[in-house]
Amino acid sequence: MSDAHVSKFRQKLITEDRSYKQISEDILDTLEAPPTKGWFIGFSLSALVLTIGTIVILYQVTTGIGTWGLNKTIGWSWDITNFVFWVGIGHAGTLISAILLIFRQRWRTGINRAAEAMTIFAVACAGIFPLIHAGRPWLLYWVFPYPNTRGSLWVNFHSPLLWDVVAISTYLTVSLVFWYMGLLPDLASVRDRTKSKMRKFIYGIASFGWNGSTKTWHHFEVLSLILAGLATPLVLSVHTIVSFDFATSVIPGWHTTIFPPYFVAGAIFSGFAMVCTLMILTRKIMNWENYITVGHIDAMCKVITLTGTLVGLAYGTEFFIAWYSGNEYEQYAFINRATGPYWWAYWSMISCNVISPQFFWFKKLRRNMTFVFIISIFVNIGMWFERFVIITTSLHRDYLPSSWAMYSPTWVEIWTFIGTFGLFFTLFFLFIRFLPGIAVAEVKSVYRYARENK
Amino acid sequence: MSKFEKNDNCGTSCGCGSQTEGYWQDVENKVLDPQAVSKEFQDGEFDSFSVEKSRRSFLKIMGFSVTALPLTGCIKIPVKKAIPYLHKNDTVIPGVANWYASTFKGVPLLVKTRESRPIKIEGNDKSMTTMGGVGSQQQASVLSLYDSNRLNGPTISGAEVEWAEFDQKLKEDLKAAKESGKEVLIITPSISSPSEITLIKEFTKAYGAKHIAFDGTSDYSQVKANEISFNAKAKNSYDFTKANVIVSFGADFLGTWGNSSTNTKQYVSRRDPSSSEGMSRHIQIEPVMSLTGSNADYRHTKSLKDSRDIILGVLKSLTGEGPGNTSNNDIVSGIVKELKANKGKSLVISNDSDINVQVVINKINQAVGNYNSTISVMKSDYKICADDMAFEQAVNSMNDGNVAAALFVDVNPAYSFHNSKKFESAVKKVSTVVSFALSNDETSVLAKYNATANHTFETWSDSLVSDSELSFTQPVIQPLFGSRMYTETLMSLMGKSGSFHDYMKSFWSKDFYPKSSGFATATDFWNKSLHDGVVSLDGLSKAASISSMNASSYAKKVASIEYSSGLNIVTYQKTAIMDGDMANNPWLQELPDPITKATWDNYVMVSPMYAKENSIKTGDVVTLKSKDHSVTLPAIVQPGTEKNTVAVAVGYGRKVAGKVARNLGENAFAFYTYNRGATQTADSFGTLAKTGKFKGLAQTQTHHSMEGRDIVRETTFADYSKNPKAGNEKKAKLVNIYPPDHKKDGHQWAMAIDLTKCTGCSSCIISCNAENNVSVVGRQEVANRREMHWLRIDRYYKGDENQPEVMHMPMLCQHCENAPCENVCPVMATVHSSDGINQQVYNRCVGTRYCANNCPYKVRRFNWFNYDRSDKLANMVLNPDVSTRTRGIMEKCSMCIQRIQEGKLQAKRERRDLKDGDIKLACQQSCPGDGIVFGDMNDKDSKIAAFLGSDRNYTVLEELNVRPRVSYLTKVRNK
Repeated sequence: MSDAHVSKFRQKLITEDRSYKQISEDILDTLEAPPTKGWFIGFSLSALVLTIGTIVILYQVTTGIGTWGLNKTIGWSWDITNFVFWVGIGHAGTLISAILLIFRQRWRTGINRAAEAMTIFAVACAGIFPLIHAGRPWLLYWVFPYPNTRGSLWVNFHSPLLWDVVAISTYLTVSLVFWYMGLLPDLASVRDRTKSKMRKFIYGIASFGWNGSTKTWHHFEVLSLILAGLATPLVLSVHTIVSFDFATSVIPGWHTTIFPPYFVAGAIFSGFAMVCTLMILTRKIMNWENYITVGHIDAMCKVITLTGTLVGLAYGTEFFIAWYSGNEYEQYAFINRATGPYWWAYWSMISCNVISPQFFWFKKLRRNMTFVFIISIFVNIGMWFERFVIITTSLHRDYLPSSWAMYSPTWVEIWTFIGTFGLFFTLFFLFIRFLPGIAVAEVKSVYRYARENK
Repeated sequence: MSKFEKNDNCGTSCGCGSQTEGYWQDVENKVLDPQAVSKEFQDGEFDSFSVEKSRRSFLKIMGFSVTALPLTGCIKIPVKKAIPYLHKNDTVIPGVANWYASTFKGVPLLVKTRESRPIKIEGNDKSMTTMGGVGSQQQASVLSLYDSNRLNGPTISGAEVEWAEFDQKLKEDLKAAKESGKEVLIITPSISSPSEITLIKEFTKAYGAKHIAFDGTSDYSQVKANEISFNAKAKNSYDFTKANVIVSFGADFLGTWGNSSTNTKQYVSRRDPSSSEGMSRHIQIEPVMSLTGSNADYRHTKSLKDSRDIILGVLKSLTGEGPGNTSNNDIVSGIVKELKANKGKSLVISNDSDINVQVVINKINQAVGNYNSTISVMKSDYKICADDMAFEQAVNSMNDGNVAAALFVDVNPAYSFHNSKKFESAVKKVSTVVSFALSNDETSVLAKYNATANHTFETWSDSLVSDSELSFTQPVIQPLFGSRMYTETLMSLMGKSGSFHDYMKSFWSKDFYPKSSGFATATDFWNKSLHDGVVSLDGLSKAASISSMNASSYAKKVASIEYSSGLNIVTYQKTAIMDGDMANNPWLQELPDPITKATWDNYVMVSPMYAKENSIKTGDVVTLKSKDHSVTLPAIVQPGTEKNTVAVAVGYGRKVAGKVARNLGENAFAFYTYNRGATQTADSFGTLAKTGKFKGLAQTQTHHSMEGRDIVRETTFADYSKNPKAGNEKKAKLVNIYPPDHKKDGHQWAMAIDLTKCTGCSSCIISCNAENNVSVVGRQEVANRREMHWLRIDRYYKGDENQPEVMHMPMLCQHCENAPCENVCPVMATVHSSDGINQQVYNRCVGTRYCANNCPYKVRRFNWFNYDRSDKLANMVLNPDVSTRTRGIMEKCSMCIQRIQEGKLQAKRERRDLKDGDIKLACQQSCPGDGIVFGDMNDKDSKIAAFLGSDRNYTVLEELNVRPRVSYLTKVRNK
């Protein structure tokens, strides 16, 4: 519209020329068309896995934690590994929507919706584990500090598990509100486009009476900023607090002050890897290569390299401090990680988390979607192993060698974990089927980026 | 409306109606100052309940009532059945325990009963022999009482019959047997009960029967050797308190050999480095690591042949007799030096089942003047020892068809005889076979008659527990099944009327009352003895005369014993299972072996060297083959095993037994052989082959090195003598960012464990299980590392794996003052009491397991499942003072909080201060070595205060600043 000069370094955020109408159609038509075969297959598979997972969890809850492979020495393993893994995955969404919004990284608009959805689904998956890992999950409401007739018996504010409850539930709430609030203008678009009465009704309610007036838009923008402000510290706090579960303990390998930044870096690392995995698939399946561009993937790969290197630095620091501390238990814990019976887990972690992201120093590789996809999977595997290494290998050989033990998962634990992927993908498939997978209104706002002189 | 409500005045002077103004009879009926009343219920607090009479409020109330009433129907009101006593027994007070003195397997003990149910065994402090010591089998006996596998009454050919019919038929058969002119045999284990022996004598007279004593694992070689040496058919009596030097050749006297509780008590009393007598020195020479060997100051891993050579060498050096030996001269000279320096104050013992070896041992002891100092041989008419040769002959006689009737009392030769096939076919040639088994076993199923006997705790008996002390066995519960004391069955067969109780009482007044002094009547004597459980009398046994003899010819015979090629198969007993007669007891099966830490199994022990050469790992299933027997069992690589020796425990491989014991492991009795006039336990040789299969063992500990960590602190007696702080010099520098501790007023409980006194016998574990209703989890769950024991004994090895030093360390909740478990629980299910105990609140626990993860000592136990409590009979053993735990919650040592409460209450009721020693925890009470001390650390004169102030006192992982209330005293070895 203006004739301002456009720097040649600016890259178009939406690569092909489209009209605003076309943008709406590109994204919203899929909601109205009958689902594709690919969607059906994907959804059915996910739902099947979810069902199996649910049955397995029911079996475990009715029979006892004994159906898992834990023992007197190793009280947590896959359960909390999976919990931290999923919480970590759930980190990218809020980072993209909140921190990048505040830093005015406008490229985020192409991926923020899906990333936020992913956050919520991942936190939902994560939330399952603290619930079912308890011996008596039906009494778990006792961890909430509410007035009760038991005395009144209060919760233990010293316990990091309580902090976890607060941190995770706050994070889930804020993420959910942020995400849903962002959906409102797009839901209104769906409402206005559809010819089906029922859809009109449902999306009408869901869009909270959005009318597109300037005042509405004004409120929307203000609220976005406020929520972004609220969510930004949460990005840092959630994983910091999750790391306190370990850092405040006395177990060598857990008791370290490096954990908060280390965990946050790791979480962003794994979160971005997961966003890459999902976005590479989505842009292909939904034909959204125009909106989720190679540039997006490129940018995320840079974040992955940075955080992956940070994580690597943390691994090194841990070893240095173990040596420097002169604490024999600490030293043994780390030597045991690298050379003990679980060495394979440690070296899987190192190769996936520290070595694999280093390929992203090459622009060519960052822009090769197949390669990025493979590396993103590796990073996710590596980050799962990181939590396994921290939790299991620290516990399995702590202070008294008489209690040293080994752990291996049972089929129940394996299927519970697979089941959470079922939940995650079921929700994700439902999401791209019923809600706009890209923030239409926001994408439109950046369409003109690098096109201002046209 | 009842008439009482109608009346203003009930007609009595209770004051309910008219009241003279100003006077009141009790607080309730005092008419209060109306103003005070109105003050108390100010602001119409209670008025809000009075409903405003309006349509709206009527509907409100109606609505509430209509919805609330059905809800009350949803509350499940438990059906409670309280059946009052028809005639209340004035000795049974609900909630108050009664204690009765009794005896189990020759150990005097006290049986705790609650509401008439026996629930716990403790040692009898009054016994001069055991001094309150008690072993794991005694502790577990109370569970065997409630074995639902027990037989429900007498059977003939498997059919249940009435006792009258049974007696009549059996009488006829026995009469026919007597008249047939063939032998009638009554076979019992070794007996030390005067009354029973007298009765059996009468029985043998009545039926012309022959009495034979048979033990699966007997001390026959020693008895026979004493007969050869001193013409005394008796076992040795030892006094470890007088021994400055103990040389043991394979004898596991602290675990499975002899009266281990007594031995432990005496042995440990000489292991106190601070005592003026100094510590005793213990040298053990053995082919496989035994519990006793693990406590030795010097332990030499030597093959059976080498051990015997060393014995011959010692004999030669001391007396010049015999051929001497060629190897191991350093060990021989070491032993000889010690023995010579402690003449009359040493002990040489051996478990060798070869008679000649035992004769040589006798000679050695005699040469250094140990007789009538540390050893005595006492002949007594009131003890009958097992006779291998007589039983061997009896089996042959049965096989030849010369036996018309055989009565098996409490013996199971079909299982524990070395050639069970031969025994079985022999028994089939006997027309009248009678078994007195409690539950079906391998022998009882061969018998036509089963005169189901009572459990010990349903039985009257007595036993000579030492040379001069008698201990009572009295019934503490009515027979649970339709069984009968075997003695009463014998009486009935003899046509004697009355009960065995009467028989015994008259026997006592005839035989023992005259030996007593200070009792007016025989009944007084009886009552007092029965009350105390034990009584010491003179003249119950007579010392054998110790005459000198030349042992040369016996030594030559020892030297000429031939050893086959191949691996020497040594059999041994495990501390808990022993010879397998209590194998159906889940507590014993789940008790970790003190050395291997394995439960629920037997296995083939191989040496680390052999394992390396043949690449055998723990858990590899191997086949061990001797000339005529083979077993297929998992192997265990056991440090301290001689290279060419393999060892298998007996007591497993029961084929006819309750569901706990059935088909668990394999029978190793078949490796016994009858040779050189006695049953040999280690005379088999064979080969070992890997099957290629793997069967993980249910071990409670799989890592055996301390990894150089500062966990067990130890020193030598030499260093200790110079500096009592030796080995305990480390002191952590502790910093605290918090203000000084909470106040420590009142009682502050603490515990100290003397590692020098702990032999690792594991009696405390069973005691803890019984006291605290600790669940049994079974083999698979132990293999999953989920045993529930609140108290465990960590066992570490040090040094050369062929000759390791062993450390035992009881580990239980350390009751940390800064407990790491407490601050991580989100729901405050584990909290600290004001008297310093870390408490677990079962009701509040949601089961996050964070506390267990954060416990540096890993002593917390999680209920992974609802463990089996479906056996109603076995549930009778539960301690009603301790709640059982359901799945999903954490549990751990509570420091027997119920005992602490009971002790405090008792003192309060008696309006006195709690005295040191009033409260004894279950583990402490059962410790035969008195290694556990518990008490109030604020009481400066208490034993615990002395222990805490000891130079040897330390806490494990002190540097974590968790401040454990359980501390340890360094282990001192006499080196």
